[in-house]
Amino acid sequence: MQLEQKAVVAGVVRKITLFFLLLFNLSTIDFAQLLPGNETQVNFSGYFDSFNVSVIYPSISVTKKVSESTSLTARYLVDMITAASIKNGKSNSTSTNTSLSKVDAVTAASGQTGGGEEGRIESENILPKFDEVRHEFNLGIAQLIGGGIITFDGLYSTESDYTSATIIGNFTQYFAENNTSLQLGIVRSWDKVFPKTKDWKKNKNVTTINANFTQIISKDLILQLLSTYTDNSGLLSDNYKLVPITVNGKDSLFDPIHPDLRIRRAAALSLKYRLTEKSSLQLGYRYYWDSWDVRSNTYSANYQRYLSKHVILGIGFRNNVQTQAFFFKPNYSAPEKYMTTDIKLDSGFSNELQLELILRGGDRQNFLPFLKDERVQYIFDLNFYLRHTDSPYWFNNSNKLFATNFNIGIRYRY
Amino acid sequence: MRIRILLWLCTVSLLYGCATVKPWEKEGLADPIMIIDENPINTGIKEHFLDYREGAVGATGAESGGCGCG
Repeated sequence: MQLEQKAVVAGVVRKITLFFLLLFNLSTIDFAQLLPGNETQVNFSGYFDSFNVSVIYPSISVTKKVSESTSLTARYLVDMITAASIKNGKSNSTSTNTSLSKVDAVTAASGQTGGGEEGRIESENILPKFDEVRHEFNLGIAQLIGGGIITFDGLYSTESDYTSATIIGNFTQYFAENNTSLQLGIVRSWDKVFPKTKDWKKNKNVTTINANFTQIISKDLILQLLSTYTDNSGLLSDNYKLVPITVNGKDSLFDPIHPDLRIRRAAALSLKYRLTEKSSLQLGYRYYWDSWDVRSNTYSANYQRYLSKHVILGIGFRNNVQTQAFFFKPNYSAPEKYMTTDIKLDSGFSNELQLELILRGGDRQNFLPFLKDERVQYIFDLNFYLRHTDSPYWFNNSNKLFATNFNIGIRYRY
Repeated sequence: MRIRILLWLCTVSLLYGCATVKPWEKEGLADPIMIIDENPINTGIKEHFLDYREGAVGATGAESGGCGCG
């Protein structure tokens, strides 16, 4: 099966490459300087949800144009997570904490270890504190070549029970007086998973191919088509999200068992339209389907408007409806070949309200002195997210997740 | 798969012929409110948590990775 999938991936890569090379030869090169410019960006972001998960993730990113045709980017991000997954073991369910499998999570509970963010319930008398810290490093280079740009990024992430190394390559080609662009990208990740409650280390490999197309239709309308093909293999479950099963009248927690291969596909259409001189509307639709029978339709709309010359307000709405994975069940009466109670694999829907305020520096900012410098931009994001699943999560008997996500960012372009 | 690639080719070919906007007409398109992904770093941050709350990912233009939270 895996050989067949690899052959399919190789075939897709070959065909898309040929297609891209064909268009490259047909291109009319009138190339603008589209390299990322010098910029430093600092973001302070946070996430809080009704499952008692809190994440604070500050990041800093620096982009430097080192020549007319090359720019470099470095980024560092740190995730500080409270209510990490191992608290799952301190369940407030009716489990007797007896395991028939090799799972030891229930008795190995330790507030200072773990991984993952979702489905974690803090036990009583445990004060919020950072249980997990993840560091992410990213180095990238963008290079002009012919009528396009090649970018290459290397990313490394490490935490106490998970490491990931990722390389990302993209090639963007511009055509037709820069009215058309085609982007072909590949992402490859090598992840290692070693839960604190286990004595093994397993691999997860992800290969993603992206093909994106952007077209300027008129001076007021831009269209974008995006597509993604992802091959996931290896350990694809979160081994902190245990499965409760009653065997011989005794409640036990088992490891989740997911198929070790998942082919994920997504195609999206996005339109950006200028409504007036001071406002624009972006509409988006995405269809997603995968080999685990998850299907999803995602709709989004984002309205942006200048409140003044230097202030932009954005209001967005996003809706996602999905079906469940073929092996998902809210509860199991006996161990099965595949089993999971991972609630994000359940059917359901989510809604998100996005608010954004951008303050751009410039002259005539006497009332806000810190905005006098036109190279500075302040960004404030606030998102409200609600996810409703058709089944309640066994751990807290809730089928609703409320989350708030914020970001405060400063961009300095020079 | 061939049909999908053919559809892609047809779509791209059709849209390729839409290039009627001249460089001097693009001033408005350079406006921050008309750029589809004006701040890709911020977009990545926004997408990051959705990846681990929903069963669907991809085709957003944002790329992230490295977290085993899923």
